[in-house]
Amino acid sequence: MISRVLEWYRIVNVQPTSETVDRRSAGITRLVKALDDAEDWDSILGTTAGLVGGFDQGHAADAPHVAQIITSIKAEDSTFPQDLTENALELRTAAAIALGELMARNGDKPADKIAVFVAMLIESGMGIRPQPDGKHLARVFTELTGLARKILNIAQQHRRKRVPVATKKVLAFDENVAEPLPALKSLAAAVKAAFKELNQQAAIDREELDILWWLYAATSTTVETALSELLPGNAAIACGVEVADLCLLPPLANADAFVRRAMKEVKRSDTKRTLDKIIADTDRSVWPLLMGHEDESVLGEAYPTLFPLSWLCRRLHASGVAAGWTAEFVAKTGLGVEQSVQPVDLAMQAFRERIAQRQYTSAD
Amino acid sequence: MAQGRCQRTGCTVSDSGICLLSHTPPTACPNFEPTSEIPTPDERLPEEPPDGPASAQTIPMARSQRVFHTGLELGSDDTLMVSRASYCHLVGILGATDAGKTCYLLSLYLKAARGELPDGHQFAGSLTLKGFEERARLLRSWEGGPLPTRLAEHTSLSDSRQAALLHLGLRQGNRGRRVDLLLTDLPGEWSRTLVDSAATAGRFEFLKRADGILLVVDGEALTTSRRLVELRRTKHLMERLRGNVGIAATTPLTILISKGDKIQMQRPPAIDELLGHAAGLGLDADAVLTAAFSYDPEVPSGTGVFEALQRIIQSRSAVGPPVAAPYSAGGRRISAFGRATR
Repeated sequence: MISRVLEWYRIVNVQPTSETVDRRSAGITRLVKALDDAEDWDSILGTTAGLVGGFDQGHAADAPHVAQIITSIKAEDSTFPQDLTENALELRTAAAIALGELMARNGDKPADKIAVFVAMLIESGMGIRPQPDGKHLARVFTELTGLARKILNIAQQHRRKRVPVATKKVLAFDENVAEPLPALKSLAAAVKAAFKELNQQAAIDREELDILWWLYAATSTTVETALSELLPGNAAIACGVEVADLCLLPPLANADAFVRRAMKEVKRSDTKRTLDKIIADTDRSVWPLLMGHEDESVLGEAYPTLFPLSWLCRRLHASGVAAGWTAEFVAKTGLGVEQSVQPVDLAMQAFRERIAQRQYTSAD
Repeated sequence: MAQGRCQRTGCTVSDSGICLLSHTPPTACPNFEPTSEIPTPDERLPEEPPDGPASAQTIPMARSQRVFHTGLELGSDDTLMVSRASYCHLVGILGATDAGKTCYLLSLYLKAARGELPDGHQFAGSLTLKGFEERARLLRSWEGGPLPTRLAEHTSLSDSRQAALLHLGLRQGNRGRRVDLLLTDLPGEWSRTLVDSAATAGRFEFLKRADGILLVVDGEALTTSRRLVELRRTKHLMERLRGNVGIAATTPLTILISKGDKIQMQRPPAIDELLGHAAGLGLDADAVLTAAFSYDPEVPSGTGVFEALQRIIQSRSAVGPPVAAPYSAGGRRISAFGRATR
């Protein structure tokens, strides 16, 4: 994506000079390296949150991830302003290019864990979020979400590839070798590898069976109620989370089809309503599902733009009632409650957030 | 010049230089307390850095030239003041000389300033307030009676090599969405030279960033014998924009029919020819009839002015379905699940 600096930087500068483009490219290259070398996920999370929601709200100028971007750019251009009221969109553009580079650098090969996590965060953050204002900025996000989808698709194919190399070696073992001891050592190694392969294959097969049986039963295993008897809001969160928990990471490219099929059992699942009205159909039985376990629980609290439903579930659980949250939700997540969505869209959002939560802890 | 303040309540010597008790000079007053000495320009700048090469790298603040933004218009670098912080909608306004480009800008500005924009849009500041006011000078000097034949001065750029941009901030409601507009005010000669010579297309490179383009055509001319010339010129301009400047097919193009009051707000049939030509070039075009300043008492001034922009500044799109992943079975039937329903 660093190759797109000229085109994407036009969002900020209508006619950038070649010198400016070179400086920005160099600065963003520094940023990419800093994100690569980070010891934890905080930089990635913070930068992606700023990309998705903008840096003009909910980010402090001295926050580590903000300072990292500014430092990287200032290293090549000392005139870059420090104040978020002056540079918020430029930070967002820099974040877009850097995160895009992290995702795109593997090409068509299986992506590294950073790229996969970034892709999941972008899907989670952009799920029910309208496109940002402005034709050119919206186009950047269309490209990034498309790239995220592609990265995850390649990764999930690689995860589920059946490559019985070691098994073939075991089956090809010749019992009549002249030197049995070295051959046995080689066979032992092949057997161990073959067992790993078989375990992986079994996990892939089990994923398919678990999902298909869950769909067939059409019952929420956490709430222990038939999906057809759940209110749309409750069903959305339950379906999204339960399907996500059944998937290997990254999930199948068509995992959304499972969620949609399940939601077809739910009454009025395709009826568009405002977000606040759908959330009014939720209760304590489902809120904990998206709050995350242990380390995951910090995500919704710290990054509401990336995990809006997780944040909301924590908030509702803490207050005990499904009311009085709208103003704070708008301020924290940047999402409007008056936008019309279908419960099935909410289920997909719950799915994406749960996948990103699991990836966070599995990567850790 | 000695600077100071007075300990006596109500004395404004620090601001006005005049002592309340009429002491001359003010420093003679017993209540006067000097605070600091402002060095003269000669005293301010040392000729050599005091500590050698290391400190020579630090340029003293006073040594750098301080440049104030004139407020007349913005160049591409000046736009960073606003575009670096938040998204700006760049609107390219092109058209022949006297087509009505500047009148359009003035009408938009005046409607905003008077709070007459539709949908609750309100004026929310401008970095080029002086530029709008300078352009409106002829209007401001009009003292009633029939409208003058010329409402705006011929546009000339302070730097003829680069485009000038005017900035207009709008907000929908008191706490609603803010829209920052960067509007070009280019002389008609720019459009003419682009039509005459593709070699000048480089000047319009910035239009690749445009969120929309308004192509101003003289509505009155389209109903007279000048129609053919106007049509040919406008078509060539579209071809240059698409083929030589390289604006994207997705860039909204609005054919702004000016002087609508002189043609009884009737859309000239020739517009359909222009729209067809635009479609043939792959451009996303529509047409809006406007009357920036109306000579017809039946037609309010400013008709169609904001409507021409609405397609460009429309709200964000609604939430859409997730992007469908490409089908890849990998030998597993489960990967085909749900494909038929997409």
